[in-house]
Amino acid sequence: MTQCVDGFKHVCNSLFRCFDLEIYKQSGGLGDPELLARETVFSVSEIEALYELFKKISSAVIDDGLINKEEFQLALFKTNKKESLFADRVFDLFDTKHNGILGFEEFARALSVFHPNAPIDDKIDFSFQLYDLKQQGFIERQEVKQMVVATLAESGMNLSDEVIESIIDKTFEEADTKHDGRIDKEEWRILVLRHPSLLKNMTLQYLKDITTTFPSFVFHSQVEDT
Amino acid sequence: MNAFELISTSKGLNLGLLFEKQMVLQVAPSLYMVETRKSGGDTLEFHKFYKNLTTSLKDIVWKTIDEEKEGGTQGGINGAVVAS
Repeated sequence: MTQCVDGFKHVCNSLFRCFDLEIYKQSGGLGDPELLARETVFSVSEIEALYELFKKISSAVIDDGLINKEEFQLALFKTNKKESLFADRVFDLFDTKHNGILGFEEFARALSVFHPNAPIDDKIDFSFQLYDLKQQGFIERQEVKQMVVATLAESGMNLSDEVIESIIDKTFEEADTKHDGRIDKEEWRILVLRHPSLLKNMTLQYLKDITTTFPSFVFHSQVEDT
Repeated sequence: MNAFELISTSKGLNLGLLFEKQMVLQVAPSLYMVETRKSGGDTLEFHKFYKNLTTSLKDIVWKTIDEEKEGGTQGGINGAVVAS
């Protein structure tokens, strides 16, 4: 009997390997809007409206119901020719399945953090991970410099290395209370609570108005009117 | 100024851009397509803006999509094909 089961398992494994791409590929689609609404800050209508935006972005280059890196760059910068350290970090953080593409669930869950009603702790966490380029649990001085240089390059602003170093010095003086040359989660938290404007880009007012920006979700709504 | 204040001005960290509707696609090395879409607000104002834009770009705009089709611009997509 066990031999039959093993044989069957073996056949199944071979079959699955043949269909590797299909089985392990993430499926597009809205999924369960009510589940997503329960587990995010969004209402069901907001989830459905968000899906309209997702469809638009995810069909720009390959119409497969998934957002790849190029489509994400296109949506953000309106051109497919721009590389960005920050867009890469954001994409990586959205991509919780780590497979190089964003399904709607990943998209909605990540954007939930940016909703005006999202808990500030989520925003603090997300921003910390964003700036922790090497993902070692600390924001190191070298990472801050890399980000400052990237920001300046993008805007065409020119600051001397001296000035850049002095800006970072002052930042670390204030933030690095443990004086270990890096900013940990606790120090980051204290810094942003003292300077809330540092979290300004972690809130998107657009998300509050999303049902009016994408009213066509009504035509595709899967949910009963209550 | 705080280093993080500076960093947070970066375009790549401004996800509000996902909601903005203007698109510039590089179709070929010297050919760009600009899509302008009204997402809300006064239609008349938008038309004034659009007419102004296309008149100013007259010299480098080959053809607007409005000119290709007949009419049909009730707050829909207005497009222009532009040579750089």
